[in-house]
Amino acid sequence: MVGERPRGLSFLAALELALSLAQLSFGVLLFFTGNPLPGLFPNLDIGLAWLVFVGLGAVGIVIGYYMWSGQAFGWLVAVSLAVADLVLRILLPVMLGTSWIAFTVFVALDVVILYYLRKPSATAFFGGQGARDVLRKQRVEMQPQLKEVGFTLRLARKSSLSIIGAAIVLFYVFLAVLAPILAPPGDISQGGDPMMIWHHGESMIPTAPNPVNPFGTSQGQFDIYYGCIWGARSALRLGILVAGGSLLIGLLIGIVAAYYGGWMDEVLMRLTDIVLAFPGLILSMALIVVLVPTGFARLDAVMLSLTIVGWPGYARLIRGEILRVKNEDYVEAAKSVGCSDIRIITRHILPNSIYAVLIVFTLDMGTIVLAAAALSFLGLGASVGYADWGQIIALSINWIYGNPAAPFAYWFTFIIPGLFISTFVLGWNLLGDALRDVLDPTLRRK
Amino acid sequence: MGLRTYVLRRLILAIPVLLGAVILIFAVLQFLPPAQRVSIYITDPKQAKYWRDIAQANGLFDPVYVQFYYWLRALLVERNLGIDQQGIGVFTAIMSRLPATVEIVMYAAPIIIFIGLTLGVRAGANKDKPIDQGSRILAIMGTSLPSFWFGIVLLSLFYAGLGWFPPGRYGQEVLKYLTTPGTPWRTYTGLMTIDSIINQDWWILIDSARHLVLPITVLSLLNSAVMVRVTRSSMLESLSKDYITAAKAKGLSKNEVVNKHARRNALIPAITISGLMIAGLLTGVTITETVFDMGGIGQYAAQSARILDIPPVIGYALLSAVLFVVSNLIVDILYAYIDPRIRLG
Repeated sequence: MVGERPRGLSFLAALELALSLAQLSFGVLLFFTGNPLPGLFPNLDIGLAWLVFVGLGAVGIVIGYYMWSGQAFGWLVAVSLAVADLVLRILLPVMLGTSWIAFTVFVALDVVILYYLRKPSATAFFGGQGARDVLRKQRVEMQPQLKEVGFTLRLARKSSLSIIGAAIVLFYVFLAVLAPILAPPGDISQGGDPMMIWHHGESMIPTAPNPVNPFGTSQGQFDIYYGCIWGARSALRLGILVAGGSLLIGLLIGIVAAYYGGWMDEVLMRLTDIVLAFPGLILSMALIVVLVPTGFARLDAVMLSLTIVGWPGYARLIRGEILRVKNEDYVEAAKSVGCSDIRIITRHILPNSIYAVLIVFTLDMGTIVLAAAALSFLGLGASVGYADWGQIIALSINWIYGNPAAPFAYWFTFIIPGLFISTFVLGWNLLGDALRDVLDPTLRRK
Repeated sequence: MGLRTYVLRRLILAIPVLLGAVILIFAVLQFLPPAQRVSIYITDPKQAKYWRDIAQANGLFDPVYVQFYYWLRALLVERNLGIDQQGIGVFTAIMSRLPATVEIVMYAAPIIIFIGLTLGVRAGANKDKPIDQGSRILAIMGTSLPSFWFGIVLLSLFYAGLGWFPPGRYGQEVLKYLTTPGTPWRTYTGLMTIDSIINQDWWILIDSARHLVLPITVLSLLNSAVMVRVTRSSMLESLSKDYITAAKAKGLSKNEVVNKHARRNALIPAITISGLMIAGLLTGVTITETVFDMGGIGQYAAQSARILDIPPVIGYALLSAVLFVVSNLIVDILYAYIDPRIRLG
């Protein structure tokens, strides 16, 4: 960074960061709990609205961050993202009918940011005189980073498995996002909850695939197609919540243990030892059995128990990574110029150890969904009729032998949902392996 | 540090972990009100009426540490894990179902180790050749296929379709033979395959083998995947060492280099994975036994969990923690015995 940060720039960046963070949290809430402010923002219960909020919020956070930091190519990133943000915002409300208040606030903010960034006092902060000059300088500065991004993409393209993995994961994200369009909810048997599978009649005998039920129905006449499509949403939600929760707890405990060391480290690591002394699935079974009678909903109990079982792995990994990085020369250098603990952790240690965590997180998505499916199959998961792949398979258990005349008469009740689970997990596993090859600094140049 | 001190140190380090595991389970139980928790202490269904007295006697209304003392005493001295909802003591129930589980694990574990080590070594020695790709497919299957679904698909194919391998632990006739009084069958170990050999009832041996094929296939295929990958990467690492270059330079054939020089060192890290295998087996047994209706302890725990019957699940969790910690201890000691660098370092 060159020169003083102008006060107007600090103010704008802080405003952008705060508003975008609010927007992102709103999107997350919208996805997990439904519209938190229906009075202020009506018409948001459309399947895609949460994604728009999360996406634009994330873009805004990046803009605010680069405006604040003034680091290499910060100006370029902030300007181009602000333009993109402006275009998206003008296009999207037409499609979604979101609130005009939010629209006006954010469009105005984008315009002000773009106007402000052109001013000489702002460009000087990023090391140039005027827009044209700072653009040229930053392009030169960006060369090494661009080369590195290009190298990463080339590495990723070289392995076909990574592309398949990414494609599968994207496919499931699309399924989850587009579920309301692919399998419209609203059947009277769902009782207003789109996560419940619709069913006409109660007959125990599954129905073969037909125009109304493309994948047939399971025991109890639950539509397998609907369950599989919306199952993508419940799998992604469960995976992200459990892996994210485990990661957050693990991050906190791992950092505290590694950075402070001593008896704190000893106590925290013995705690992870104790949780890891149980095979994960069995401990979560025991936890669920105790949590459900105390009033937890089954699905919440599943997620909570899988998180309790999952965090020690992250805590250990993060602790190990930090200890590895802690004594590197660049951390010593940062210390010697007087950086604060927080700055050393967030700017020097975490960026260099996050690759391993990211890889494990990706692989974990598959493992968690697999464990949750197994729990559903054992009858510990969501209630009957909930859109969950493991549960649909559990409903097929009485029909796997078909009937004496046709042993495979009911194949669709377990083959189809099983393929959904397997490919979902496969996708995340392939993606995790690919990330390891592409991102891991010790492997990527081998 | 000698081997003896190392073993002693590992033993001492394992004790707090075991104690911690017991405390963790105890802490989990604290979520429940005494009326529900008391089932862990009951030994006879007739006592259920007097749960308040039993709760009193076991200190359920006392401070936590007093409760813990009573609970630990019940666990260790009286071997009392409570009763299940059928009124059978959990300890008795687990012991009576143990042979079914042991019988599956007894055959699955060697198969896993065999597949894991041989395929891993060969995949590592032939990187990117067909056998390596094959091992990759196995690994992908092992990590991506839900074991319960794999089991269901196999049952549909090999039982419903072909009629070869039925579910359950015994066929109808065997069950009839075993439960008819006066038959000359004697139980020695509880393991059907072993007992039938001792009794020289060959038709029973064939019957129990047919019932064991599918669960063992599911367990061993899916669990060997991790082992294959670890052995392969440790094989690759050991093949890149200087002494391999030296061995090649002095003109040894590829087979000699792989079998005599690289393999020995590559197998050492693979041993540590056998500890993880135990966790995989315990988890796997819970699911496969349920799918194949094998009547072992895993199925017992899963069935109890389904109806929220707490004592069997808690007992199973404790048992699996003990097994897991002890097997890891054994693996660590073995590791130190084979590789002196561990105990010296």
